Amino acid sequence: MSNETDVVKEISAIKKGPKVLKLYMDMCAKCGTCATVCPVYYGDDDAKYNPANRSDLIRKIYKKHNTATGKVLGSLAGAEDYNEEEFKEWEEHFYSCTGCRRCAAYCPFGIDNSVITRKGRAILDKLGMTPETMQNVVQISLDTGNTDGASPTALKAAVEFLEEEMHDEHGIDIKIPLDKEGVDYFYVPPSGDVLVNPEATTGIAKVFHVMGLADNWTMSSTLFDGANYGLFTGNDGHMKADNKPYVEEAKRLGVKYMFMGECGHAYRIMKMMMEAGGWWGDLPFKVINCMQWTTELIKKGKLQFDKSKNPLPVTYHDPCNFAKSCEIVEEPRVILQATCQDYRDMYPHGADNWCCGGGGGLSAMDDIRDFRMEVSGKKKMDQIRATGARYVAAACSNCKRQLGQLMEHYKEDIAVGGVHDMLSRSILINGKAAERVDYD
Amino acid sequence: MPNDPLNQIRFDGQTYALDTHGYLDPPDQWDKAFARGMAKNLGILDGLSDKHWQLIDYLRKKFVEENTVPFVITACVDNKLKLSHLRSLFPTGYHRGACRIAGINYAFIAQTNILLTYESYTTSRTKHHCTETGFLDNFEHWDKQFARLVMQEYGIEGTMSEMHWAILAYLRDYYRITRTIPTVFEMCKVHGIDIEELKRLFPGGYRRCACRAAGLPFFG
Repeated sequence: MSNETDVVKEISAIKKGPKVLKLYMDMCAKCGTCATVCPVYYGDDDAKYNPANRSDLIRKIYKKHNTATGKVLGSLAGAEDYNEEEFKEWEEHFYSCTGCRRCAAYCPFGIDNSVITRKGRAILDKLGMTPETMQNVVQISLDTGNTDGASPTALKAAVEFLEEEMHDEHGIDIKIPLDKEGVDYFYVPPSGDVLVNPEATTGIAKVFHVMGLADNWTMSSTLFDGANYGLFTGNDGHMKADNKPYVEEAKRLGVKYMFMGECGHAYRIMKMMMEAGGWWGDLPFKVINCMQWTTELIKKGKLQFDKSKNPLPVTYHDPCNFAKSCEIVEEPRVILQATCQDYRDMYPHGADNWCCGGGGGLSAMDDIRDFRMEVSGKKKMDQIRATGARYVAAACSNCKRQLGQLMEHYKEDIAVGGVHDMLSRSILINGKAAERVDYD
Repeated sequence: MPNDPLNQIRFDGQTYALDTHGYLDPPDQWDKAFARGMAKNLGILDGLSDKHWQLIDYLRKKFVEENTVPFVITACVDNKLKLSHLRSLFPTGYHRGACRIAGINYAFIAQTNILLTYESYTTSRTKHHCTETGFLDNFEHWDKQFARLVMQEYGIEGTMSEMHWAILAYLRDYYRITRTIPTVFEMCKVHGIDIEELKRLFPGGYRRCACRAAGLPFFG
């Protein structure tokens, strides 16, 4: 069965869609700048990894059907018609872009290839051709409200466990409130920060405790995962369906701030898309990020740390969604410099940073693990090695997964973790940092 | 691929097939000999204790009967383990240590747990700087892992007794204060053992094995 009509219809719809995507279709000088700055193309200079070539898959069909020159001159004007053979490879092509938007920063025309990639994925999704591994994650997330598929019982057990853990470290009760109404802050972490790598959450609980706000924040026992894979599969319907319960929960709890955890795309969707785009009308709360909040407190001198608890050299990997889309660059560095003895920057960093290689949801796809390790993650590994760091902090669960696998793959002795993890280990509560029981 | 050394491993004369990531696959080959062998490869040199087996049996049960891999926190809650205790039990971590020893294949772990643990991966490979003859460079950099590695060279694996640790602690204390070592007779007398017993405990000899395992320099 041919998908030609569907694909052509979807691509032609771009003409009536947002102006920016239409412009991306019209302009591209094929100058190759995007290829030189692309983490995937750096790992393997095969023509299929060139961002311009990938975008051309859509662009040439668009030109053939929607521009006068394309209709008349055909391939001379860069227009080509739909090709069934080529369409079979679309899945591989569009799922080998990490959507990091580094090309957009360097393109002389400002073409953002990640937008075109997302369009390609949206077309695949409409035809039911989203890779199975991705589709599973979306389905689990829609069914259970979190990408890990954890039940509220599991979360409650985990939270109790973390409270005990903090009691052992500090000898006092530090609370993680659940489902508390009428508080100011509603904490939305990625679920991994509670269930798998929980130190980021304990770090935040400790900051609230020190600030005397221990009764003024809450987590939800059903909605505790900001991750939203609708962004990655290109399905706007899924993205909004996944997002809506959080807004409703925040309204129900009556909070003043939706307090996003260390998750790049979750914050980007909430702040840059949901709040800025006005998906659900006027909101009675503001979306803020935990790192910005903690940084404010550090700058005001309200938090004290014992840096000697973190003696190893630490570097920070800028998650693309934070650095390139939300301008959160300085904040994590302030936290790490305040909490670690030896902080080192990668070069380049900030909005120029290279992607970890697992962006755009790729890090959840283990069927392309070899591609992520050998191709898209290669540049990141080189960068990390060059710093000599023994701990890479990344404020993003997807980056953490990708980086952890990179360390395993390249047999590097470097730990991977979050930003508030370091804070949790060194923050002084009543003048004392966390005591860790040494079992060995 | 029966002859591919990368994809198979031998413990106690038994051969096990592995997947490309070094995890047991297919998982039904699992037995206790595999667990013991894999544990040794993953930095658990003292052998598997009851605490280890408790978690491994738990993971096996979850995997075989309920066809799942619990989250690291859930596993800790169910087994009344602290995170730092888990870390010291399985130096390579939960997914890469405990689950791997329990014979769960990589694809299944990745499929059931989108997020993998990473934090303790690094602790398995503490680096020890040694002299050319294998003695620790800096007395202060000693840890129990170093002692285990030295003892492993002399075939003492998984059976380091209280007496071993007592002797090593005594040697370290003695050296810290006097900057020399006790004579072998003094040493035996303090611990109430004879030379034969010491030889059994430290087959490589007093200075070359016991003192070296204690992180002392060579006294020629």
